[in-house]
Amino acid sequence: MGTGRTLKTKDLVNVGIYSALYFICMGIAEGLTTLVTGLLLPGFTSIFVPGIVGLLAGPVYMLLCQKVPRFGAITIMGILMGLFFLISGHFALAFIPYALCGLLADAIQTFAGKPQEPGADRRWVRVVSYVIFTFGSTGPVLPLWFMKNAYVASLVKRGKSQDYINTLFSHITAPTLVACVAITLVGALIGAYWGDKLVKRYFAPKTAAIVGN
Amino acid sequence: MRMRAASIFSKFFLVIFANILLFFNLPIWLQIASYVYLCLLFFLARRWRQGLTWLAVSAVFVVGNACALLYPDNLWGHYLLFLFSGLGKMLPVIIVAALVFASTHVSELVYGLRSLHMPQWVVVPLSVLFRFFPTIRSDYHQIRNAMKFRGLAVGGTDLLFHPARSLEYIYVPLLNNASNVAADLTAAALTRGLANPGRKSSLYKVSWSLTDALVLLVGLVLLGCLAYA
Repeated sequence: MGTGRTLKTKDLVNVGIYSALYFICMGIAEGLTTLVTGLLLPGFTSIFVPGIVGLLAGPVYMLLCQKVPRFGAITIMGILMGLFFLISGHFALAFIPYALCGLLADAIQTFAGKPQEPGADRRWVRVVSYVIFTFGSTGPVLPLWFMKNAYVASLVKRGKSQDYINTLFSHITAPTLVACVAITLVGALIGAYWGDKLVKRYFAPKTAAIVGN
Repeated sequence: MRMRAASIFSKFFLVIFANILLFFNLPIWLQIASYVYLCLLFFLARRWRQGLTWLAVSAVFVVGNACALLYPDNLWGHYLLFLFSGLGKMLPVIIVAALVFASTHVSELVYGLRSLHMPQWVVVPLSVLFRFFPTIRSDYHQIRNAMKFRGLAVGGTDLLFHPARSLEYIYVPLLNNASNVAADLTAAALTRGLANPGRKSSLYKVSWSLTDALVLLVGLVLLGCLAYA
């Protein structure tokens, strides 16, 4: 269980597998949120997506932590997710947060999460690192707030009326930014605890037998 | 003479091409031209049905975009515009993604990534991810069938009222299978010498062909039109 060793092929394959699952969770979150909020609160979709991602992907992340307890796994997952954003037209801006959050979460997980004595479990470390990782998925959303002006300018250039633009951006304000962060936090926390419980119950290491019936 | 399908190098170019399109507002003729260009590549890969499907989808978006702008500036107009311009902007990227997934062998992808001098820690996870997507899909269907067979979460209501429990039924087999697949894939990869640090040979012949030259040429011409439009 040494954290000092580099990743082997087996670990890299594991990272690929869990990244695929994480990606599916992301896709489902995106689709689900768009469907639900598109009907109820049009335009608010982007505020909810990172939170729902956090809610759904907990078990995937926790299992990856268990399978590859070495530095690098979570970083690579973050970079892969960032790459997806990059090649799906979210600009480099979406890549950087994911890669950075991955690195940070990884550092916390591998250096603070090392059990000091056998049997000791640092659950809060996993939860914190998961929350940080989830904030990576705000990359495509945040430019809405921080690049508002550029977006508005492009709309003006297309000859859209001022009230049209106002309606479009009426919900991109400071309070909704706070709401987005809060929702992400809550979603990630719930996802982390639920994921951790699930993994502990069914994928406990050293006991091959599945608990339950 | 039968034209070869586009090679992995062309696909890398197409990803960049689709992303450049996102930054511009295309005039309608250029939109149509780029959609047709992307869909033709499906035909080259002999994916007739998919190519036609995407052509139809593109047509809907082109017409929808034109109609949405004609629509009065009220709430419904906003909806339409949001839908068509928002999703329509992403359409080239989505089409390219579908193309890459439909017509690329994992080996070819690995070869392409290697020739871009990607490090091992990008190549291996990416190729595994690529290979694993279809597996997830079939796994999910099997799990749902098994659940239905046992009368679990048959309707959507169970998912609504007991989300955690229903999700557990889906997640646990899915994750369990994922760890099995990981073990299998590792064995397969090691057998094929993926971990070997030396020069790799490739079973797939990946080379430039006339198709690639044409793809590149047409793509660059389209981008050139973009600069002048």
